Amino acid sequence: MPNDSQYVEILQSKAITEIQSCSNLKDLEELSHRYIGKKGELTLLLRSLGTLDEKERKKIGQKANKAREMFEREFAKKKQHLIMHEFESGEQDEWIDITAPGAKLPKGHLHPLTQIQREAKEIFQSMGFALADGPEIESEWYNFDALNIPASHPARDMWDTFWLKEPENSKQNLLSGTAILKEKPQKFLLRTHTSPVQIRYMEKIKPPLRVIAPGRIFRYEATDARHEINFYQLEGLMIGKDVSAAHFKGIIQEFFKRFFEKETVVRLRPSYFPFVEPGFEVDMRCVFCAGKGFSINKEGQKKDCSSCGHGGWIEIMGAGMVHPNVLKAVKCDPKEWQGFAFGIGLDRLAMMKYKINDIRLLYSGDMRFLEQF
Amino acid sequence: MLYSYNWLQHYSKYKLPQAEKLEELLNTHSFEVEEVKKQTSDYLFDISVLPNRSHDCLGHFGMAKEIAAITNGKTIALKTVSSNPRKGKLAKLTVHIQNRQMVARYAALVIEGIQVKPSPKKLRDRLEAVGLHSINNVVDVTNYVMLEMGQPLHAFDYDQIEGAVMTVRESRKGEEVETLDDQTLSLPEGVLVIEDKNRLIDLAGIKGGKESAISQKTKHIVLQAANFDPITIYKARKQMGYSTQAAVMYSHGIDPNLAMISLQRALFLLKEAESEGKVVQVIDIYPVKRLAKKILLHAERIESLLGVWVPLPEIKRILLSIGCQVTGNGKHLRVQIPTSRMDLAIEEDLVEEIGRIYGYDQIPAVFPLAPLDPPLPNKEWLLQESVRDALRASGYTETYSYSFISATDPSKFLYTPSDRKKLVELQNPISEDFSYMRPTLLENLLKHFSQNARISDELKIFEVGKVFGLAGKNYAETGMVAGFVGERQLEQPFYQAKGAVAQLCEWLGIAGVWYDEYKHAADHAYGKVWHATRCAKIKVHGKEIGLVGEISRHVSANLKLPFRVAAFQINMEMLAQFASSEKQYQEIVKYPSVVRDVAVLVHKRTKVFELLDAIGKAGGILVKDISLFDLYEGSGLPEGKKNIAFHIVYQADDRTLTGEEIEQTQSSIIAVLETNPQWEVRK
Repeated sequence: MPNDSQYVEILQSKAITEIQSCSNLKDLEELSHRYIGKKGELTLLLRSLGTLDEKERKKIGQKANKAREMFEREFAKKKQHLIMHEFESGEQDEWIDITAPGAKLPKGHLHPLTQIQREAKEIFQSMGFALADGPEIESEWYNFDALNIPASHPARDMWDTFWLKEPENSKQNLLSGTAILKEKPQKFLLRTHTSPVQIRYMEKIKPPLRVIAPGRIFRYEATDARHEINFYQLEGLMIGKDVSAAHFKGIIQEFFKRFFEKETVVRLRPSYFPFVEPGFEVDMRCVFCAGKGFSINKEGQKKDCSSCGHGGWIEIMGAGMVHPNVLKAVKCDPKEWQGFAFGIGLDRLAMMKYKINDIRLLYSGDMRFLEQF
Repeated sequence: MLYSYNWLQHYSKYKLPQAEKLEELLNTHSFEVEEVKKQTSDYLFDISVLPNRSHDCLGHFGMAKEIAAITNGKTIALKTVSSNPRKGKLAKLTVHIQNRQMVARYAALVIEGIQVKPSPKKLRDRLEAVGLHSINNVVDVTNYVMLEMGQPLHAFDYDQIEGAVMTVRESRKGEEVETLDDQTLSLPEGVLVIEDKNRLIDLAGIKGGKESAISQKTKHIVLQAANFDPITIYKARKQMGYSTQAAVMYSHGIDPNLAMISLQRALFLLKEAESEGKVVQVIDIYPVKRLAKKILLHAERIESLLGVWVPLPEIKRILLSIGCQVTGNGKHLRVQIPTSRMDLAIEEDLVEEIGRIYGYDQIPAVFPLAPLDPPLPNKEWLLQESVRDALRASGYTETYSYSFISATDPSKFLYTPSDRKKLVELQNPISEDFSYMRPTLLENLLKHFSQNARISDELKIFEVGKVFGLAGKNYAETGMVAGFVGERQLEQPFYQAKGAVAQLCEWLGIAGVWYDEYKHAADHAYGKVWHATRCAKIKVHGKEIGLVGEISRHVSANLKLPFRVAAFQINMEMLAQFASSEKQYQEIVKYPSVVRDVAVLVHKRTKVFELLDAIGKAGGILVKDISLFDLYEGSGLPEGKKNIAFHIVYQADDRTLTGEEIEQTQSSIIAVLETNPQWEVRK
């Protein structure tokens, strides 16, 4: 009997069962239509309530309304579930091989020496050093004389030099863009170190000063895994009233710590460069074996450290306290000013940092090398 | 130089530290020890004596003194024999010095009745320990004294000196001398030689002459200890490409006070070697005697330079250990320098001696106190780094090439005679491959490109660096950036290169970039590298900043490039002139934009720019952007024609455009395009 309260219950449980057993959205919509659509069974039932007496109407009406609410709740729940299921099962059919390579995007690389220079510049700039530059073609005066390196002295043999042929029909050469021509006609050469920038900088900037000058330099020598005819150096110079060797040690130790991101110390040994006095050879305690001189491999065997040989120290640069004659050459009073200068081989740093075993790779232009950086 | 441990021990009054310890001490206080070789009952030290100490340490006795200074030890006094002459029968030897500037001292002994014979074992062993062959007692003693004192000695056969006269003079060009090692050397001008009455008998300070050499028949000798001018000897070595141990010692300079003492030492050793003989004449030409210098040393100066306080007694001890005499009290010391230490000339030199002997390990690492004065940015460097970042972001890989080009490059790259005249040439190239300074970045980059193209189908490379040329009498050094791009099967890499240039300029904030057709012309050096019709001048505000173009077919063939390659090269100074880091936000237009396309069939040599210009002018302010999206020639089109298609973007800042407005503008654009009879708008 349609007006039987029992009938409501039967209808309700039938509808819920059907909803729960429904397996796709289309069937579900169909159910909705069948039960609560315009001519749906529940709709019709609710509409027929008017024919009943008040008591019955209230009783069955309540039940029927509850049944409808329940239907709607269950319907919504089922719908949500079926939607989720449909997306998920759809994705199952969309399997791809995630081990296949990603799209190849255009990608450039910066040369390892560019990266090394950037790191070094950043560290020194953070310690207040300015950045300077100088020409690669230098006059003999800037490269040697002003740096207290006398002509026809064996000390000059420390710098094997490329000389330039004098242009025809010319007695004097000026470097374009440089105003200073010293007293005599100059011979020109490819700078053998970045030290001439010390002179050029101090001619313009008065102390106190802190400056670094990275750049390309040239040496006339046979090439091999450790030697190139052109390579990079970073010059450093600090002049003040009381700048000492201890300050040099402080600055350079900090530089290496930051550059290699490891604790290290430096030690100074006697050396000779005519533009400094005292002159130092600077060793860094090997950051790769922590100064032990060896490493222990997986099999527990001791192996000589590949970076420092076995000594635990790496010879890393030349330095010293600026020679009074150099200060005089730039009209700076050595009684008033003093300071340190140093020159680091950047290729060496790059080779150590990236474990490059042949300096020539840096200038080979080989993409198989360059693309690793 | 090689040093024998036992030989060094011989001069030391104390037991030397063990070889390994000594090596470490020398390394940290004096000189780098290259190697220590164990011999049967000795150690051989290979020590790199610093150039400023060669004059006193290129000898075992000098080295023993250095070791004594750093180990707080003492050395023995050398045994000598007096050189007082006795009566003899030999004719008096006359020595002329032509130029006194070149011979600070000339000392020699004439020894009568010498016995030339094999050396005693002790002498032989010493020499052989450091790799010298024993010859005879006389020659061995001269070598021994040189390796002991650092003063070269030379022995002449008295009877071979014709006319008993020796003249020390400068050589004339082309003169010849036959040396002990059986070489006949043709001399340049200005080399020191010794001549007897008739011929050259010695290459002074470098090598003895064969004519006057000691032989088994020698009865009388002239034993010479001269002090020749270091610069003259150095230049001679360099000019002749010929050198000896003696020449190396001379070119570093030697204390002239060593000459006579060395001869007296040699007399002692000759006596030990049972050589008989007596000194019958002493020659000593020493016009300006070298005296000990004095330096005023302030204790504060030591602390100020080294950054460590060295106690006064320690300062004095160190100065004494290196042979100085110290007077004065308190912190101001008057230090008298032994003439044997020619390197000590100024206060700072003494600071070094004190520092290294006291120990550089005593110097602490301390941060300096300096004004908080941030350095000014270096704009050139910043620009360089921006350029690198920009090109890298466009997929270019940076390479560094040599600053040199080879002797064959000028023809490989089709330089004109005037290009060649501008090349900076090396006087002493290391090989033909590195003869000139690179006049552009193109040569070496193209070589890099060509190498890589053999193993890669697609390449983009760039370099930032200096190029060199002659500008009149001047050397010009110019910063450049250059890039190369190419891809197998890519027919027109020009557009890739041009795209990179556009992106670079945009990155650097350079507006108003313009491209002009490039023609090979006299005004452009190194011009034949570029393709005749696929190359453009890059201009900003009317100024040329560089070139972009395909590499010419001829040069591509010379370099065996496997596919077409395009390049750009831009002057960094020009980039710096126009670069700008200023940026300003432009309001985003709220009103929608509408895109309409237009396609035009034109002659294949018609320039895109002409159409862009026409559309722009006809479109007026409603046209926000015109972009090329298709450029086609080939099948389906009439011969000699190409199809160019653009997206035209319509938008107004202040309202939504009506369909009518857009149609009207679009029609007027088409109308304008159609006025050109060569252009056919496709509908």
